[in-house]
Amino acid sequence: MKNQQWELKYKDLKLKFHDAVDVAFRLGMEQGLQQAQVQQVQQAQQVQQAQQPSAEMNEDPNSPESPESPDGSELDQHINQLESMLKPNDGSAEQSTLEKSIKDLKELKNKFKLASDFKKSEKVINQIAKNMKAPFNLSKAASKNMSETAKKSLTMQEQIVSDLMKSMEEEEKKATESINKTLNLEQLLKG
Amino acid sequence: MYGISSSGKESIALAVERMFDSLAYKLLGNIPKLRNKSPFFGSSPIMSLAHIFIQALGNKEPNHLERDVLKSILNSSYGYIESLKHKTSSNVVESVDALIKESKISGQHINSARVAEIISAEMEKARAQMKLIAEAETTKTRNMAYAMDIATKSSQQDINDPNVFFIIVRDGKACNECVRLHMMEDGVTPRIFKLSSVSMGWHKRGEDRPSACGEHPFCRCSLTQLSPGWGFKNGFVSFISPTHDEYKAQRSLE
Repeated sequence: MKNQQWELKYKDLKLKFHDAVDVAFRLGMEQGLQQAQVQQVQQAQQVQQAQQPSAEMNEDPNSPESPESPDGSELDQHINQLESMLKPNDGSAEQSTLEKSIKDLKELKNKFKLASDFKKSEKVINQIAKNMKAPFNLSKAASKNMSETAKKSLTMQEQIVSDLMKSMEEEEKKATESINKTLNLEQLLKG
Repeated sequence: MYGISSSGKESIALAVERMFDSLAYKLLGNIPKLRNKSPFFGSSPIMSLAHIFIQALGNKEPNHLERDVLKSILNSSYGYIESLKHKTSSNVVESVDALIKESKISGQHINSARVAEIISAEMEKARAQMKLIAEAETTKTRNMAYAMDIATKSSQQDINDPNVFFIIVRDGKACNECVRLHMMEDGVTPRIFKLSSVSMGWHKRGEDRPSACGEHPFCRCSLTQLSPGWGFKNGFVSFISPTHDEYKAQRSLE
């Protein structure tokens, strides 16, 4: 009787042990899969982060708005792909049409690039012109703190310098004419 | 290999020198050194450094000391223009002569447009330097006259060493050096100095003493006196109290 009880107990414990091993195995598998997924996501993020700074460094820091460059690189990729798909010249009409299309695409890309360059240059030139033509204005504090005499002498200074530079241009023309006359007299100039 | 004849070179140098004499006359006025250089320099120009000096003095007849200061300012300005004149005339002569020599070697005659191009390139440099001289000298003249006027007025009021400050004329365009020297940390209140501590020579970037000659060539900051009892409210000159000393008040904050 006692032996039978021990046997039952043993079988019961054995079943429990197998169940526990199954559960542990299943849990372990699930956990392992989850961890693998997390690792994959992390690796993908790291790769993206590594690529981003290099892309940022390639961009012109002076042009925050440069939508042309990503489009341009994408266009480049497509053109390259098309070119790689081209077979060696077999003289077919299809081949020549494809070649012409790729050539047109390249021209179009160059035009876009030129247009964007012009746009950037125009912006820079406008900014320079704006700074050069900035009128001479007294600040609020200066106009209140400064005496009338001081204000007049400042205006006078502005006028003297601008008049002097204007007359320098005129005098420069006179000097050039005079030098040309001298060279003509020495018969060194053509015509 | 010969280029322009020596008399031709002299003539070219003279054309350039005449140009600078005319400019010196326009900036400095009818000074003795220029008076006999051209028959057209008989009268005084409408505005010159002397006019700025007198205007900055408060539009009064200058005394013998002030006249002497003006004379020395005009002399030093003339020196700068003279050195630029000699440098430019030599450069122009040399570059035109080189062009002629090169054309002779290649057996070709040059045209006037090419000569004009060479002269223009040299003049471009001269123009930038002339502007620099004009700006620096006008600023120096103006602030020297202010300093003399302040010194005269303060001695009349029995003030040994008057309080002065610099007015930043263009707030939006003031350079960092001017802001550092002329403003308090709040960026609104002008910094007060004793007139004796203001440098009368050219300023070097990084120095802690402001200069009456301006902190840089295109500096527009103007030297001004702050009378006893007066101070600043939001950057504006205002009367504080009869015993107020803005210099002491600012130094106690530092």
